[in-house]
Amino acid sequence: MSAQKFKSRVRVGAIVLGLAIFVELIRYTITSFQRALRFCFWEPERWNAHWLVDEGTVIETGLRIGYFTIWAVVILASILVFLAALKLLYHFSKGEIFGPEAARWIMWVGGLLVLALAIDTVFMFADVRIITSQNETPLPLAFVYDPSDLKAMCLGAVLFLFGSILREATRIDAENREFV
Amino acid sequence: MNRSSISIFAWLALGGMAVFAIYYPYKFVTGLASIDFTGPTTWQMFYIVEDGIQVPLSARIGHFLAWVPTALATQVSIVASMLMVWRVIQQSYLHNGTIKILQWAGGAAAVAAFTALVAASLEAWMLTRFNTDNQFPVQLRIESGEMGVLLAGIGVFMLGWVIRIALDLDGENREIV
Repeated sequence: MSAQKFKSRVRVGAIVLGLAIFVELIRYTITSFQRALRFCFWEPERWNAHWLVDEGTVIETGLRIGYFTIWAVVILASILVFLAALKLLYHFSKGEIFGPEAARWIMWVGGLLVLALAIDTVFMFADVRIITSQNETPLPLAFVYDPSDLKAMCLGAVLFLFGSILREATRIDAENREFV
Repeated sequence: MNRSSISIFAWLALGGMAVFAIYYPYKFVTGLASIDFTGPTTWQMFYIVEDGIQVPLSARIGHFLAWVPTALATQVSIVASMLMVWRVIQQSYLHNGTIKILQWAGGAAAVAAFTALVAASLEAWMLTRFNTDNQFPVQLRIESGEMGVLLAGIGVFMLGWVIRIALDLDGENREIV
């Protein structure tokens, strides 16, 4: 494959994947915020009707705001991952593939993915505790096992570390070229 | 981030992945086995299944098998991820072997997510097939978590492909020079 053909294929691939990520970003943002807003404010009876919440329990507004804020942080962290991925694909579409900028953005995507999912996992620990905090006997903190989160976290770690290898390789390459 | 911070991160990631590599198949087998084989044969733990319906063994085996591709692909992805991390710990440089492992990790994760979405879409139909009244159709279920893994997996696989070709072209150019 010639370099020109390769670059044009990468460009097409980056645009297609970028569009898919953009669509998922929009879908994810709307559905996630909608779900959190419905549960906390728009349809407040949803929280009261939750199967773990005691009948007749009053959920205070402060608690609702706190719960929404926690999930807003998780959603925003995930949105940052999507944006970093779009930035990386933008570099690829410009033909900047084997370079320090691409390596840096690969590390950002991987690192942010691990961070977002770590925050998500930690908040999931507290989720049931917060929902039932107004019960007579609130449920304790509990580990919630979500294999898709853990799978994505593995991929994030792999991306971050691959980015570090790539960064090292581009640094050595640049040094060699300077020497020659 | 300097090299020693990356090395610490790599060791932590490897430890986490090792735990997940053992816990995931354990949880998968015990969870599905209790639904399909060792638990009651009426699937009454699911609210969409009518009371007292006996589910034949063949249907329970089918339900189990529907999730097997996801489990296998996930396991492959975790092992490939661990190999990748191990290479970083050993301070391996960028070459085709490393890139192939990256592609295995991404490709297998994408397959795992895709098969999970397919199995999740079939789930309600499989569970309610023997209901007398409320039989659910096959319905597309898009779960954010699995969609994220699918996109990330495809992205990682493509990244490996792109870097591999870029390296090959770079090598060819140098030979010409």
